[in-house]
Amino acid sequence: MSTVTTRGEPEDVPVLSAPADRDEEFAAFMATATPALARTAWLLCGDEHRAEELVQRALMNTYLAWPRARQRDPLAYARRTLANLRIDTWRRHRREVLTSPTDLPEGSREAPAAQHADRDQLVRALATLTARQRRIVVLRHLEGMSEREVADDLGVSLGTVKSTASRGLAQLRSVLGDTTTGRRTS
Amino acid sequence: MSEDFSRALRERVDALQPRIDVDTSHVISGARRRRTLRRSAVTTVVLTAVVVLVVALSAQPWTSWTSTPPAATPTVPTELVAPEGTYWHTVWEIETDGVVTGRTELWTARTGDGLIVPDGDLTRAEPQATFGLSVRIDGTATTLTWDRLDEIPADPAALDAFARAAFLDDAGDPDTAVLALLVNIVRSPVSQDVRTAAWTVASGLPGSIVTTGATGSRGQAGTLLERDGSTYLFDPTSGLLLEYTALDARIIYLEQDVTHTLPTG
Repeated sequence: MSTVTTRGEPEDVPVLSAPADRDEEFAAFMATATPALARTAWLLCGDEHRAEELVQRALMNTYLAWPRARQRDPLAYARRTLANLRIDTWRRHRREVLTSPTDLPEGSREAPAAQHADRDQLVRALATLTARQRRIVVLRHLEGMSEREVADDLGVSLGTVKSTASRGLAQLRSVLGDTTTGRRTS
Repeated sequence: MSEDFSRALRERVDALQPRIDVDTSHVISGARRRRTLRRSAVTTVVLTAVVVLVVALSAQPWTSWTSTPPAATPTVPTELVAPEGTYWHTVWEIETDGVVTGRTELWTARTGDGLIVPDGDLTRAEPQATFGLSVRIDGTATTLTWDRLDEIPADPAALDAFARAAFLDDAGDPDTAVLALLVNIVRSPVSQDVRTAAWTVASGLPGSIVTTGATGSRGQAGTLLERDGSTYLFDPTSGLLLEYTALDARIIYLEQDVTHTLPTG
């Protein structure tokens, strides 16, 4: 990719000189950003297939806005786009499909059913939140963003983030209990 | 304390998140197609608007617009309306610093999708998963469906054994995990006997402090169970959970019953 700067452009943002450069740069971005976006999408919608659709849509929107998105933090742009997609249709497409051992990542083959049940419990807990609560709790507490970042991404006030995150966390705690870590060892 | 819970939750997510292979091979071409369609659509709308305006100007004299369109009546989106079924209906409010900050109404279905309605706004209704309790039965992790709730014992001793074998998480304090499961059982469409047994077991856990004749934040009469910084106010007769406090929030349970229809607006 050529790096040509012109007067007025930030020096650390290379100017793309051709559409092929844009596509190449965006493809590289997708390769690194997709896993993180997939995690966020799954937390927002609770369904792996739906999560894939959401990530694809977020990436498409980011591509369309790539000259702007690439100026600062394209991952943050894509995540903001993802978080503002409609996630309230999540359960409709969910299927109760147990993964076969060959579908699981290496190292997890020994307890697929237990992991599925644990995951199901977590997803059900997240389901007791409204879409807005889920967005804020996921971004603030599960993705570790600051309250200001969440407020900016979702276009809400800082106070709304604070209060909604607190309520959402309390709701999750009421469902999951005070214990949330670890696995049964016996 | 909230940071501890938040951190523990993140760790749990890290351990449980599924691997999702996103097919990105059509993202760029799909985006380009969408951009082309958008431009075509804008052109079509503009041309259509011009045609409509020309027709209107030539066919009718000017009239002043004095009437206003009828106010929209909020209704549940039609795709979410389900046929009659059986639902566990729960209504709760969340308070922070004594101020109600949210109200949620939930219909969890015996089979199929239920519904969740935030703040009484049916236009924001969302589908909700089928009822299920994630537990371990005979050493196997499973989901206890509505129709299997009768497997939960109503005898306190048997329920204690059931709960100790059934919880999924082990955070170093099995009693905490047992309490969490018991509370989820209480908030399910189980019998009054099972709820009563659940509170008997919960009250006997190490660290539990029980106060009879307690009053909730809204004057509800009940029995208060305190443990590890959380409080649970329950009705000693029905066994229903009335109020729960943790961190800096309070959850007040207003309705819990079985119903057979969903709201239609």
